[in-house]
Amino acid sequence: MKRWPCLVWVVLTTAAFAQEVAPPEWDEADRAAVKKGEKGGFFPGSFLLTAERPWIQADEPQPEPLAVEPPTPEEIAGDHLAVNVVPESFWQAYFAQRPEGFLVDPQKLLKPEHHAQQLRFLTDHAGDSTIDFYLYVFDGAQSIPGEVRAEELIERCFQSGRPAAVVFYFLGAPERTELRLSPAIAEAVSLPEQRRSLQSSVALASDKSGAFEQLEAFCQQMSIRLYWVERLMKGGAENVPAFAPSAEAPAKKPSSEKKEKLLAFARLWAPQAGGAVAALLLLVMLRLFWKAKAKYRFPEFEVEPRLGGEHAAGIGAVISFTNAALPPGGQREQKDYLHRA
Amino acid sequence: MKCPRCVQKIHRAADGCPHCGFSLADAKDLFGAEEVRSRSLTDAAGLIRLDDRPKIEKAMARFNRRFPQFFVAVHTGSFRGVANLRQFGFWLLNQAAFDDVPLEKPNEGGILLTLDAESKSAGMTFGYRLDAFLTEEDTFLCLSRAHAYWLEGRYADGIVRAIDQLEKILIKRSRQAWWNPKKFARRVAKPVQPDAGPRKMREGHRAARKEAQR
Repeated sequence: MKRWPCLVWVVLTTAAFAQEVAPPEWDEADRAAVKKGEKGGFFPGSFLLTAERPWIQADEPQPEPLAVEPPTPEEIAGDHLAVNVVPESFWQAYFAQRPEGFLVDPQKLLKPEHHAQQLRFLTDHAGDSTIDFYLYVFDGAQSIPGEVRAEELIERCFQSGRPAAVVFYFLGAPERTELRLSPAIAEAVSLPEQRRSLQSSVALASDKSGAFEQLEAFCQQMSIRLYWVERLMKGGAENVPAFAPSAEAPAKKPSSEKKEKLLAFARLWAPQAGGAVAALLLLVMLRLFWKAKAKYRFPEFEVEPRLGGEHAAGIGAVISFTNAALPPGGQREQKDYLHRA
Repeated sequence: MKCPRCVQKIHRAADGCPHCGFSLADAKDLFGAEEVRSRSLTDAAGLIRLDDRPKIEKAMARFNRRFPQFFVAVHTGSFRGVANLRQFGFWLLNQAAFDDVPLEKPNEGGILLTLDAESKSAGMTFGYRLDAFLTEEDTFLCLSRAHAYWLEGRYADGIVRAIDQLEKILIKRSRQAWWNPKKFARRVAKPVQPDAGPRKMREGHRAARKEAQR
């Protein structure tokens, strides 16, 4: 308690001292001399003191700007590729109705083996997740026709049925990928969260070199993100992992995918395995109980009495336990038994 | 089958040992001709502590429950350097009446474990019902299981171990006898008479048998 007055005194005197000491001010003559470079020469921070650049002479000729063509609207928009609209002949196949398979590639841009592999992955995903993953594949230089509005397509085709995530993927240009969610998911998942999911998938795809490898990486990451979206929809995941485009992200991906597969496998087989283990335990317990209660009977044979004994003449072994250094076999007889009666 | 005194092999229905002439009469001369009243667990040598008795009684009760035709008895004593454990076991199993053993279990189904405190030895003797199912090697295995405990003076633990091992062997024999009883019957079959072979041949001859029937 006695320290409080001292503390108050220190604070007050410090404040008063601070008011008394005013900051240094420039003398106008010094400022003019420094600006002209006549005084003091070079010293740190001198550049900040002057608005003008004394080393540039006003009469020095300025370089002529290069004669460059002005950028096109596409270049300004950041689209460096020459973009073509998807041919009209494929519009029906792409946008007419909800696709039957999870992979929509009427232009056959993917090789047959890649197509089969990717379709298998998407089908597996649908088996493990409550959110279907529809992948529309376009060429990297193509664009979706202006007549097609993604929102309208989603409402028309994905309003009913299982929740779905629709991805418009441009081969070789993963950064152009678009993600649309069916209304049931879009209501539950915020836009920033949707954006993060897309960004993380695009980032991982961009790390790959080949077009199909990019697609593969994108789909794997998107599948994982959809798992978190699914948890978010169920209200169980408050901490959905944020997008962190770090170097170790691709390294972590296979393990989490493996974990997910394991979890799905466990969910699928846990009841059966539990039942089998319970049945096995029951059998073991029954067997132990039976063994504990079992009675063993022997056939009875007529045996001729011998040596005059009415009941017994079965002579078994005799063993001595006098020497700890010798095994039982070495002490197999009573000591001096032949001298005994 | 061996003689309790000279441990030489004897035939299945020998009245006396063909090698040394031993019979129960000799054992009676040595240990007494009267019948003996005893209990299945008799600690005459005082080797077993009172606290350990329930352990042995429990093992014996379990054995008796599992094998309704047999019982196990334990006898400890001090034979002052003169008595042979085999002879004593042979005599006791023929002369003793065990008070706590049910009447439906005669001494033919008894297995007697004897311990000599003075010579630090143990032996096993068994009744006629077990002749087909137990061998000397089996009894040695039981005793060797208990050997380490008895060396340390833990007599009760050794007895329990010996009984456990005996159970294991008899369970195995029970299964074997269930599948192949003839194998065990042969072990105790009556000895073949010297003229049995020719007589069988004669009786088996068809013409002779027909003639005999007429």
